[in-house]
Amino acid sequence: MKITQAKNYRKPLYAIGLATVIMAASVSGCTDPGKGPDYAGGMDVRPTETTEVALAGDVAVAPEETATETEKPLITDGIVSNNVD
Amino acid sequence: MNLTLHLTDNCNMDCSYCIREKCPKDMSEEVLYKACDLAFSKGTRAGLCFFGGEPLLKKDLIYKALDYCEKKAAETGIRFDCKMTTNGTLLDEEFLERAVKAHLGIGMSFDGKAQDVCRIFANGKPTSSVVEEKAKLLLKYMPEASALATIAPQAVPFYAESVRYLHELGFKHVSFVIAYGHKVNWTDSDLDLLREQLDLTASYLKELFIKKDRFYMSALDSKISDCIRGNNTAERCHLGVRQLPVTPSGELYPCTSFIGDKDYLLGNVFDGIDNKKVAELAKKSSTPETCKGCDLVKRCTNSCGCANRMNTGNENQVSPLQCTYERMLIEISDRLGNEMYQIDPERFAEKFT
Repeated sequence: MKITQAKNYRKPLYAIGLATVIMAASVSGCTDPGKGPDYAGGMDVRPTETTEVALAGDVAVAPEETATETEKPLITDGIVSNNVD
Repeated sequence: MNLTLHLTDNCNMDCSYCIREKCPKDMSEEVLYKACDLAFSKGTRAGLCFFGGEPLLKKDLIYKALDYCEKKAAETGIRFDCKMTTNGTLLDEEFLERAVKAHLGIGMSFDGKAQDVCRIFANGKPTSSVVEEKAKLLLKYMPEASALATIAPQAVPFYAESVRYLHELGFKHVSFVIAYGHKVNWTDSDLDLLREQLDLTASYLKELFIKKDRFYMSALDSKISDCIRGNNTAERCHLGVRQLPVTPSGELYPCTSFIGDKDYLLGNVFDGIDNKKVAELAKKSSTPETCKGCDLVKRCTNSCGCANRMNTGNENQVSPLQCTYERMLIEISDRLGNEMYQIDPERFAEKFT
């Protein structure tokens, strides 16, 4: 196993094909239902949900974000298992 | 805001890949209520995930938290969401009735056919038969409950078989992740075998798609849906931002794997969050040098500080294991996605959008 940079990667056909569907949904006000916290130690497995979550601290973490309660869409899927439970 | 409550550091199981040190430390009611208040103190929603150790060892605390937060939600108008990750062995009908009432989402840690390979009781006995019965009970009350499988190298030969088994047991949502950290040792041959197992899994998912069987298997399906939506997976990791763990003594950390490292202590439920520390942490977060220029930089989990820390000791340094695994996942999920899309574009859109 090694770290290898991928080159000449092409967006898959399905993603190109469905991009228009997503665009249509986003402009027609079809937004996803919200959800709460992620499962700890694993990952949340629902693909279609998003939510808002507050920053933990009252701080800006990026130039465009202002202090206090900057809300970002929560991920739809966790990344890593903490191998716990 | 979202918090993960470590209700106890104790557990009735002894999983070979678990990185948490078991000890009889439980959360006090005082810490519990302070944590609930903290969850309601920021943002438009309050979210709790009950965790441990094994959270069902502290059912009394879960009941208290649910009662308290439901009342608080009614008083403030702030929406309250809750989940729990459990090994499932202590589930019972009384708890599940309360959980259904509270809309508590339950994720059951269950490695499928590999359950007894890594997940055993603290007394050394196998857990599979108990957990299978509890899974059936869980699904009776919550048909949409999730199974969460963690695959260590020794469990790889059971990977595809486990996906099939969990599906046949009745789970509609399963999550499969590989085990990271100092308790596992991946080799190239493990990863070769993992590729074969992922290929078999992709074939099974395609078969279910053709049969119009609604089933969602992360990690492959999530790679497809993220690609369609243009989600930048690499941006997902916001240590100290998305969901903070709360230890039994009330300390706050950026993520579960950082617990106990005082350099990453972000405050406590009594005094609140140390904003300066959160800001410092945010500034340190960056794309690993080795990943800049990679075409897949936005599709993989290179910036997951938790995984990076477990694998390399540095939250901003990706490991060869993760790079290899992520490239494998993306390749196989893209092939699967294209095949399903070509079979039935409309149903594909329905499933993934």
